[in-house]
Parts: sequence; structure tokens; C-alpha cells
Amino acid sequence: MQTTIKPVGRRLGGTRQLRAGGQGGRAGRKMAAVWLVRLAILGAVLGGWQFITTDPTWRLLIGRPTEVISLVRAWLVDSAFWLDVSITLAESATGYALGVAAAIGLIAIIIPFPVVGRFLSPFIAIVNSLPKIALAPVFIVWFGISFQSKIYFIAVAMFFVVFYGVYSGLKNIDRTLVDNLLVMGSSGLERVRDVYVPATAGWLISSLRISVAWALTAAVISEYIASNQGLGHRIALGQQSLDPNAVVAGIFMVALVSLTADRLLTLIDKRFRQWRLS
Amino acid sequence: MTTTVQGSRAGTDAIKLSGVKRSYPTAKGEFVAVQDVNLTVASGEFVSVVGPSGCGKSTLLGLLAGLAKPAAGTVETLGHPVRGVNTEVGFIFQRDALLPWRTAEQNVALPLRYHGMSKRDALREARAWLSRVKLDGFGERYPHQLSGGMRKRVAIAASLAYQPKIILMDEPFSALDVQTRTIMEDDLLVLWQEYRPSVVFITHDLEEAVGLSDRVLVMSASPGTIVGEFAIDLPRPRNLLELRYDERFTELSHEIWERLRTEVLRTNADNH
Repeated sequence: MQTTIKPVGRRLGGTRQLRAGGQGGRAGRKMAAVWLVRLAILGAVLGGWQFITTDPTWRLLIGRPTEVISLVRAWLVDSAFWLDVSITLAESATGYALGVAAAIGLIAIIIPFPVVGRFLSPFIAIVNSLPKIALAPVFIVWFGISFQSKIYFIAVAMFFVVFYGVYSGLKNIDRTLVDNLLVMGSSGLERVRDVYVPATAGWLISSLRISVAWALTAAVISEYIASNQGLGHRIALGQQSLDPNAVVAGIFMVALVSLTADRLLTLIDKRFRQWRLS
Repeated sequence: MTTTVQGSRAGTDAIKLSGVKRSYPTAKGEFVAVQDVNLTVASGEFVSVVGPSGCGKSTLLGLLAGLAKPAAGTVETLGHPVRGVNTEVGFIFQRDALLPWRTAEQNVALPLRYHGMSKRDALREARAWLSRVKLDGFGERYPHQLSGGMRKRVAIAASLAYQPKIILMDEPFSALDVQTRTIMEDDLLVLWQEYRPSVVFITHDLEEAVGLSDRVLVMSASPGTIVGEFAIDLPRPRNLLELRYDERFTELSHEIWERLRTEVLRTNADNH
């Protein structure tokens, strides 16, 4: 959903319309036509769905749009729903922060002492090659159906994403930047402050969108597996009570949260454009 | 003629290379980048080094800046040997070396801060330097908001700001279009005349070398060594925008090209 709608919308709606300038009428009409077709597709899908589910067998399998909508509306005014949303968000944010901190901590040891990296790299690679999702049950065994089991699971998943990203980012910093500061008489600490820290921050900012999507997914999955709170738990409940409307509504809300987070982070990304190394 | 090249004013050498060799180990054995390089540059002298691509011109600057160590010979700047990174020089790189996360004025202030100036003074000084390189009002822009020529101006301001007695320039204008380039060269000469650092300017553009320099050195095809020296007796101050139509300029360019051509052809013969 995110990936298809976003670039198309931006390309047609944003830059091209602006560039058309004087002939905005024509571009505008074209845009309107595109939106009309999109709405028609959406209408056809929802309408078809609604139509099929007049049959109760189908309704039991895939839910019904009108029922999903009324369920979502009920959720939106229910404080228990917002508690679930905030728990999922809190797990994602805490897990992300923990994973980032661990990854940066390790990198701060490995870069000045490459020998440590040489000892550890095969182990890091082995753990990284495990499918992270498969680790979720391990954390549930260790920490139970708790907030901790979620954030540690997310942290582990994030650790590898951040570790490999930042590490290769720092390794590939343009040597010229460093040489330039060397000749200018900088001290080692000054180079850390002026090159390595900003380069790491830049990488974190530019990867924030992907990372947060990852963290949210990890949160929902671990809630789905075992939990008594959160959006994933809501989906699991729907599944257990054989209520397809609740499952569909739950998935829809996860997508909406993820999309909202993504849009907000795009703003941050734009604001810190100069931090990104080409 | 021996390969020893003498500065115009002996006794005040800013740079002295004797018997310098630089080599790297590679899979196919030792690769010799430069060898038998003897060179002196007087203080306040503007020297250009031209040569075919890959002849080791840039290696010389790396050695002078202490970013690389010679395999043989001695490298001296301002009367003492270079040990470790040489912070007595300013280095203007071919590639952009500005910090992308710092504004133009912060980039210029950086070396001043490293040299112990307070933040406030460094920024004030940086603004003055930006104005000297004709970038008034661009101080708060980030590098990605500046054109290639403007970024080079910021880099020049940053390198001149801490007033090193030696400036090393590695094909600084090679990425710029011809018009921008000529204007940059002209402005560079004005700044140089005012502060009079010694300059070692690496270029593959012969006319650029002749236009800017007091002396032009020709390097041989790899492994590089200095095979020719030409004094440029064009009067200063020079107007580079007009110089290309000067008879003596053409004559000198032609003379140096005669020497350079052999090396360029040799490089091409080696590569094909």
C-alpha cells in the first residue's frame, strides 16, 4: 500500500504540476482524471467486496466493508483502543532506541579497536543470518507476555539493521573529508565530533523510515504471538473469536499507524537533508 | 640537466624534496608512483606541476601534507622534515571536502576553531573570508545548496583562513566549466598576491598552469619524476581573462607542450 501509492502520487501531484506552471489547467485536468480512476478502482474493490459478502459464508471468511467501518468507528472513540495503539508505539520506540544504543555502542568500540571487530564479526554474522521473526518465541520464553519481551525482540531486530548500516556507512565515509580535517589540524575527538557523529546521525535519520516500519512490524508480530495488549493482540483476538471484521480492521489500523509514522518521518528526513552522505 | 629543480630565491625554501620515492605494494609487486623527485619551492612562489594522468602528481601533495610517507628521500616544509600529518599546509582537494552538515561559514570557521580560536571570533573571521572569496550572503547555506564553483570558493576560504604559508592544490578546478574556471583562477591569483603563500598547484591543464604560475614543472609518465622545468616570465598582476591572447603566453604553452606531449603519448602507449 505505502510503496505503490507514495511515489506515483508525488510524481504526478507534486513536481510535475509545479513544473507545468502556465499550463496548469491541462496538468490539473490530467491529475483529476488520474484521481478519478483511482477512486473508481477503490470503489469497485469495496463494492465488489460488499456485494460478495451478502453471502454469509464469504462474510465469515473476509468480513464486510460496512461492518469493518462501523467497528473502526467504535474503536476510534474507545479509550481501550487508543491504549493498544500507544502500547504498540511505545514498544516500537523503546525497542528501536535500545537497538540503536546497543549497535552504536558496539560500533564505538569496533571502529577505534578493529581487533575487537575481527573477533566478533563471525558471531554477529551468524546471529544476523537467523530469521529474526523466529526469535520472538525465545523472548517470550525468557520474559513472558510482558512489555520487556516485546522491546528486547524489537531491539535485537533493530540492532542488526542499524549495526550493519552504520558500520558500512562509517567505513565508506569519503576519505577526503577526514584527510581535509587532518591537515586542518583537528584532534581525534574533534574528528569524531565533526565527522563520525554527524555521519552516524545522518545515517540514522535517513534510515529512520525503514527502521520504524521494521520496529512496528516486529511489535505487532510479537504482540500477535503472545500478549494481552497492543494492536497485534487485537488482531489475535479477532482471529481467536473467528471475527474477520476485527482482523481486517486491526490490519487496517496497523497500516494507518505505519503510514502516519512514515509521513511524519518524511518531514524529519527533509529537514535534515544535509546530514545525508551521498 | 640533472633533475634538481631550484627555487628562484635560494635560502628561503618553503618546500624541499630530495630523492623522494613513493611506492605501494600491490598484488603484482611493488608499484612505484613517483621516484627521484627533487624539488624546491621558494616562499611566496607559485609552482604548477603538469603531467599525464596517473603520473603521480597528486602523490607529491600527499607526501607534502604528510598523508603519505616516502619510501626513500626526504620531504621538508618550512625548514624541517615532515613527520606525521603536516598541519602547516593548506590543502585544497580535487573532490569536495566540505562537511555536508555544516554551513559554509561553519566550514570556514572549522580550521580556525582547531587552531584554538573562540567560536565567536572564528565565525566572524569566516564571514570575512567568505566575503573575500565573493560569497557575501552565502554563509548560512549548506554545501548542497551551493554550486560547484561556490563550494570550491568555500574550500579556498577555509584553507586560506588559518593563513598557512604553503597551499597545496590538487586539480581544484577540474570539475568546473571553462568560464567558471577562468574566473576562479583569476580570483585565486588576486588572493594569492595579497597573502603570498607558496603554492603547489597540480593540474593536467597546461594553460591553467602557465597562466597561474611562476614556474611549471613537467612530470614524466609513470613512474613519475620531474623531467622539465619552465620559468614563466609573464608580468604580474596577470589578467587571465585576457592572457590567452598574449603572444608570450602562447609561446610558453607551446614550448611546455612540446615536452609534455612526449609523456602523454608514452602514457597512452602504455595503456593501449
